[in-house]
Amino acid sequence: MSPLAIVLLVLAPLTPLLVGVVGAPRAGRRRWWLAVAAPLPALVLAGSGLDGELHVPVVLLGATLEIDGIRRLLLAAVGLVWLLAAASGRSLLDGPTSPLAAWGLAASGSLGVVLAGDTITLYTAFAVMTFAAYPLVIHRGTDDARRAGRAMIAMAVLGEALLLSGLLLVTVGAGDPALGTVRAAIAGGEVGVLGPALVTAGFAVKAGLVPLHLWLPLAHPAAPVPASAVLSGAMIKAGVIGWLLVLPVAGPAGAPAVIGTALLVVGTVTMFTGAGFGVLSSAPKVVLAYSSISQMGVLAMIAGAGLLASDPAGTTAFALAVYVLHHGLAKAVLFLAAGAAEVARRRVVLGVAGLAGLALAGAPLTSGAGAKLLAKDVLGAVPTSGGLLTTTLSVGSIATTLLVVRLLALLAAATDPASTTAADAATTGLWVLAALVALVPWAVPWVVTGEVVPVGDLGAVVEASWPIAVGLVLAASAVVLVRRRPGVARIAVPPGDLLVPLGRVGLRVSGGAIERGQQIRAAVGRWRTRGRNRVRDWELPGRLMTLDEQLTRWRPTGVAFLALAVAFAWVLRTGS
Amino acid sequence: MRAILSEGPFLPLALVATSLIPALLIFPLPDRAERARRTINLAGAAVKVVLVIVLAIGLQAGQVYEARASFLPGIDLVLRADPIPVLFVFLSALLWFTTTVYAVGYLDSGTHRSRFFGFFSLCVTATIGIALAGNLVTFLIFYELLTVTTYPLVVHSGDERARAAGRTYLRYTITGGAVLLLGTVWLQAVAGTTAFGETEILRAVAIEQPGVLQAIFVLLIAGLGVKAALIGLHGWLPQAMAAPAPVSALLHAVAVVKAGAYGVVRVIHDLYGAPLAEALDLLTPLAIVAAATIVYGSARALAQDDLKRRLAYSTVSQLSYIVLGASILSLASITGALAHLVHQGIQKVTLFYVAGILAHDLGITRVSELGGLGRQRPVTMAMFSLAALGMIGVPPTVGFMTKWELGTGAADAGSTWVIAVLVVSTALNAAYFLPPVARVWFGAPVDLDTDAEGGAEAAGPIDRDAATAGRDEPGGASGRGQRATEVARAPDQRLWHREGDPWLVLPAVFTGSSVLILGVFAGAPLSPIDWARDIAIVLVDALP
Repeated sequence: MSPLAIVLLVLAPLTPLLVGVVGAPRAGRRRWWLAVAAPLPALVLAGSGLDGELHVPVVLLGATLEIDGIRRLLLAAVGLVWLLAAASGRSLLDGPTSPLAAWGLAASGSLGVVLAGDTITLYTAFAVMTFAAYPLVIHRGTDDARRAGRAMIAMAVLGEALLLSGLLLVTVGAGDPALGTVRAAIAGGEVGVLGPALVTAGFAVKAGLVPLHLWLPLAHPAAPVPASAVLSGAMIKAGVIGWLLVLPVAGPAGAPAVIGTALLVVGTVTMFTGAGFGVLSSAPKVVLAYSSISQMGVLAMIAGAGLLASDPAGTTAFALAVYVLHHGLAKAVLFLAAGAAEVARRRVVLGVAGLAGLALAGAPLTSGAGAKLLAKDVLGAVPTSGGLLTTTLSVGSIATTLLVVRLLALLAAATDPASTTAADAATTGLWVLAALVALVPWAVPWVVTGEVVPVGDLGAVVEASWPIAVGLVLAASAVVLVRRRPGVARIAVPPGDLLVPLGRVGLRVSGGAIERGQQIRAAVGRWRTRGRNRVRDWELPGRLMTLDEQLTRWRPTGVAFLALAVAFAWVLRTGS
Repeated sequence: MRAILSEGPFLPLALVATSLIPALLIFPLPDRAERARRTINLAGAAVKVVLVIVLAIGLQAGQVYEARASFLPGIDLVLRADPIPVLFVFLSALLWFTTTVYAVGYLDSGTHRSRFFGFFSLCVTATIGIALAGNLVTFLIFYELLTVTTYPLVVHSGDERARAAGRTYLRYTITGGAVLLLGTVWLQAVAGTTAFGETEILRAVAIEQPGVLQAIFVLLIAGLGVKAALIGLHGWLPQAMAAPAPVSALLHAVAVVKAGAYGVVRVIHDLYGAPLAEALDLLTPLAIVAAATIVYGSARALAQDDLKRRLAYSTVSQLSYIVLGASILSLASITGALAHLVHQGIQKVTLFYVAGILAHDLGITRVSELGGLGRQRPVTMAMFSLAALGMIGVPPTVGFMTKWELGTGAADAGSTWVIAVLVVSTALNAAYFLPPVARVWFGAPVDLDTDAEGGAEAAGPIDRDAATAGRDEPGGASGRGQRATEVARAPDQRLWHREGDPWLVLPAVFTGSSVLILGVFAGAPLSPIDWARDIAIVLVDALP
């Protein structure tokens, strides 16, 4: 491995880390350029065409960083989102504290996940990213933000717990923490099902698969726009990247089929549920959050199909990476457009959001079409149910089209048609973004790996067009329906869907365990008192139960000493 | 230098003497002799650190350090530097040094300071003796000495709460000591030896009298379990929080509770030997007790608002990680157990340092009062946060390294259930350590004046005002810029002023940053993990 590759491999995760640690104490408005610079070494590495592996025995329990074609593509995808969000990150600076430290740490973790070569490094990077995201989500300090932060941390701790136990099991099963060994061991069936299943579930929390998605619709609207962009565009992708790195998604089939099937089923459910809740939501950022959940469902389907199907050519990994790139950029752009809705010109906001939305729905010639063609290749290769799965994906595109229409309608309502002069910079920025979303997903895979994202033939264009056409027709009929029956429009899902009916109960169990220790404390106290009373009522002196209390009186101690003395006498007699 | 390095009794004795002599010198000093006391204390602590390093180097070179004196017919007092003892002595010497610095800053006023520092040194003398003990009898003598010398420290403040805590402490530990004594006497009577590292003798005894050895093991663990705060025997620990912060720090990190856990490790691995303990079916029950303690301690910690009580229950839980790891037979889990002796020490000592700083400077003793302190004392609270994250086991802190080793070890040994215990405890730890950390950095400051128990000293309100001023959001855009530069510049000029007494803060910075540095470089030679693994390899090689 060349010295340049080593330097870049180390700098890619280290630069954002240093930005966070060194820049934080004196962070101010003028230092935000550090955040913009943070992902640059990673992007250079992505474009370098270098492959290799770096083992540093002294760090962690022997850390390994790895770079290859797929990882370079993923690195480009994640790095571009961080760059884009930081470049438009002014609104982050309006809060009472500078988010530079959290931003740097989260970026470092997010890029580190892509480069991790062993389970320990992977878990470390993942955890750093997760915990550093908390300050970004609660940055505004509002009650909503705090509630979202609590829900997020509670889910994150659940995810970390699942992941830790899973990674421990697969590491021990494989006999080595190197991810290549772990994947081979899982594919070879040497690890069993429990470990890989726990890993899958742990990453699914981050990916937001139903029903582990609850924190996402709360966190996105509460967080500032750039934070939402990196959350949706980069951070939740760590779940998918985790599947790709730990499970034998690419390569010959052989993994536990139950995990592949579960991912396919849950992914499908997530795709439709996310889109459905999104259509019924009434704030642009909530719609976008549900859209992310829906798209993560698609990624879960691809990963599941990769586990089930034999894939010697490695299409699955490429398909996943391209989809991550495409969705990351489109979603980041959509969040930024939504954030600019109140300052930029309506035409521009709707134009840019519309373009990114078309890509999201997979319209012909957009990056979404290319990504979905690749996805269909993978899904179609699944034994016995391939055809059904590709059709499901097309039906999913109908739902996405509806969601995009809903989003555009909400954005149109949010923009001020009179706004013309105030934000020319924002307007220019948005056009740049539009160019990015149109070009980058085609250019980057070619530059990074030399592989081309397919444009498809005429049949593919038709294949990509009909779901959108159906979606538009459905949207039009919905508009007509609402005109005639205004009551229908009142059907809406509050952000956090299941959390609301699960209600305060859900929050008390998850978020409540974090901050409302008081209630648990009281409950524990009641429980203890009741226990004590019960013991007292039974006239059983409760010596076992409240040994603490009993020992605080002298008499039992005296008795104990007497007993000890007798014991000593006996021991000495028998021993000598 | 060559003379010191050579084999013989000098180093073990010198290690004990470097805290015994300061103790004897300090007792007669008047309270106002601040400078003399400080010099003696720090000199003793520094010399001890140097001696431990010399010892470790010598041990690496294959030297044997042993001091032996006859005590009773057939029973010798033995101090010997074996690998496990040296790890523990190293930890004790290092943390004694930082805690001495801290204690000098903490007890900058008040009465009976010579008494305090005298017993403080004696307490460390006892700990070193426990660490180096070459047989159970020697261990027992120093173990009892530790009990006696800690009592005056626990009751130092002299108020009713402290006295009550002291009485409870004595009741528990003296009973525990008596049970340990019974076990020791019985073992001596049955086997004719209590020496560490001669497991073959007990193995021979076990063939004829397995039941007796089981009973002795239970007695020994029960006796040690009082100090190690195993479930049911832990009641004294949360009460002992009445002690001053440096004492709590030392108690929880190296001295009392650690002595118990360390004793358990030695009984299993150096007295019985893991294969014998396993053959007698003793390890699985112990692992279950430890697992129950881990979960119980974490669950109780959740319900404490008093910061030091919360930390105390956390200690109950964390100590049992060591016991758990020691009672599972695999390289990784023994590594985790030994490394956690050090890891738990530096993490907990940091938390108590900071808890002490908050109580001492600001009168803050409750978790609910921690709001906004991150802006007020960023360095101190960063150390608190690092240690708290370590307790949860968030990578890359040392706490995670322990957890990973224990988990892989348990899976290796086929005890997959241990992973469930680790994960539950991680979630509980997160539930009681994350809210304080979040409150420190993102919470609103609490007005202590409305609090009945707010014993804030003069410096308190001023500091709080400064923090509130920094938090205010000025209205105009230009005003904001100006204020922003002011706030940005402020830390530069007044950072150490804001952080408070360097005697208090620097120890916390040293141990707190170690939590991160030793975690990030856990694979480096001489890291606690690496060191522990070297010891564990030898222990595991002895396994059948």
